[in-house]
Amino acid sequence: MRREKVILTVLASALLAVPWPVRAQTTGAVGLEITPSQTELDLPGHSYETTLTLFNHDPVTYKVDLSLEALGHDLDGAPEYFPSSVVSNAFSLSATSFSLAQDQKKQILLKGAIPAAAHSIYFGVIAAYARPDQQQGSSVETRTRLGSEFLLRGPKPWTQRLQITDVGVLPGTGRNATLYAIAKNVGNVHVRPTGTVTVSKNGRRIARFAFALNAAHKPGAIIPGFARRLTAVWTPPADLTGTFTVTATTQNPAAAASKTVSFRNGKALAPDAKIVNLSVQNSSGVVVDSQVTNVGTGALTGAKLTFVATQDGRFERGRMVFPIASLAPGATVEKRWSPGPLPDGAYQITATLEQGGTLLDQRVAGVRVGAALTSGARTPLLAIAGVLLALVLAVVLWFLFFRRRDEDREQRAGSRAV
Amino acid sequence: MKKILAAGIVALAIGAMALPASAATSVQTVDATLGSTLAMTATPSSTVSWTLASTGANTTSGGSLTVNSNAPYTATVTADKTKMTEWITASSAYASSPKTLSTALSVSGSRSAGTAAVAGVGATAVVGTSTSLATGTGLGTDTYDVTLSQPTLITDSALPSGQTYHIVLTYTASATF
Repeated sequence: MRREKVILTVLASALLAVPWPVRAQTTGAVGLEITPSQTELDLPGHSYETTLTLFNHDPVTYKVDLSLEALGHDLDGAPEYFPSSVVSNAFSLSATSFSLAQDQKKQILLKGAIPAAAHSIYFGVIAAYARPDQQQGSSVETRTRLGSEFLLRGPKPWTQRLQITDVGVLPGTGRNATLYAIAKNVGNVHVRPTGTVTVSKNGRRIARFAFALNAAHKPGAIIPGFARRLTAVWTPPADLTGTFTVTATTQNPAAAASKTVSFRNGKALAPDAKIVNLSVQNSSGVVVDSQVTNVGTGALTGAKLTFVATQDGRFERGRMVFPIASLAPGATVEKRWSPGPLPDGAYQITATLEQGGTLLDQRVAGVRVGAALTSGARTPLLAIAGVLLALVLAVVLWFLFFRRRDEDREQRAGSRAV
Repeated sequence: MKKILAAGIVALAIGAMALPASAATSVQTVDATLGSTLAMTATPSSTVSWTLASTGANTTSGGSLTVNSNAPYTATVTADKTKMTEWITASSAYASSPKTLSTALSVSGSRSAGTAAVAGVGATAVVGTSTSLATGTGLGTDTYDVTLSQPTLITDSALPSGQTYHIVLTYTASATF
């Protein structure tokens, strides 16, 4: 009996002592996890560093590759990432390629500074990861990425300026209509505007709505140089017919614009077309392919599709305008542009679809021409090391020179004495 | 007498030690931050050998995506090519002068499971750039079944053995901003 007790005690102790695997995260955690997923800060200076954590919850070993890319967004606010030498020169990561088994985590140091001439920087740390069987042998290969976004503003003063480039109404589903304003950030830091849109006739207000928020109590962000569609859904009266004035007003920062729109029996009479595809490839020169589809109920006439190639989002290196004379409802037209030789660098290709003064759609894609530059965040360290090395060499040479001179003097003095 | 004196000293000492604790008010401020976090997993695609009909709408499962987040998120899909493009299986590379299918591939996400209090919403994305596939409010898990649709026309070229139409889809999950 006593022996049994001893055995049970030993077994219990062993059970308690064995480091059984424990899932460190909350129930339901899956996949590869990145923390933080978004960082929005107003910095007291230009320098910034933080630690990102990657945690693998899946029962596979992921090969993870990290990269830094510029952050932008499409008209509807979906994040877009582009290669950017500005970002890769400004920030660096302590590791960029590693494997993570289940329940393993890795902490990565992100370090750098907003460029001296800039007031803000917007980028993503992109974690591309794949399980061993994910990328091979399929007619449709799938790859997966997580983005950790950084919206960093440097010290004030900032220029917070918004320009409403278009206002209008789009036919929505059923009896709904979507009132919208295209707001472009022409300042030097990101903004989160709120605002309203009104519909009026001969100065009499018919409807007034606040623009939809991105999340509870949080208006969507607009990054400098990018435009975002602020929207409000309206169900107009079924007999609404005629011309009306749509006025959009924003706060933080303030902007306003108006436009005349038409309705017939409650249905908005407006063109509605989408850039359903924008693909940029660089093989023996950059080639841009795009498709435009008329998703409205009437023919799209007098539209144009404009491609602009911008190096690092700052320097325009090419532009092409394709007129779209007429496009039937539901029809699609394809356009291809080869901008010709471009200097090595990171490029944003912006496709803008317009009809008259109406901006129908806009998309941005990125491409890199030539090899990626090595991170410039280490350049100052290399420079310091170079200067130190030069100083050491100079001291050694100086020392050898004087020592040799002293030896010669001593030798000459010795010879005279003899 | 000595015992009483000693007991008195001990009692005074204990009282002296206890007094500050009972008389002072200690305020402890606790601040805690909770960082935003985002995780995603994708089941392997089930389209290893997708046999397309010569004409019509071809659909197949593209597996599923599960997103786990404590903040609103957006999932997007991008492709390396405008359309499915001729691929040489032996060299694992696109043909030098490739044929392409005439219609773009579309990818749709449909929420099939999850724990998020406000369910995420799937969307249909035609292959392009940063086309939204799903958006969610986070605070839990959303699982999306992914369906691939590749319409074909009789004018699309058949390919010889050892060649396929190929495309690479990249799913990206980011916090909504």
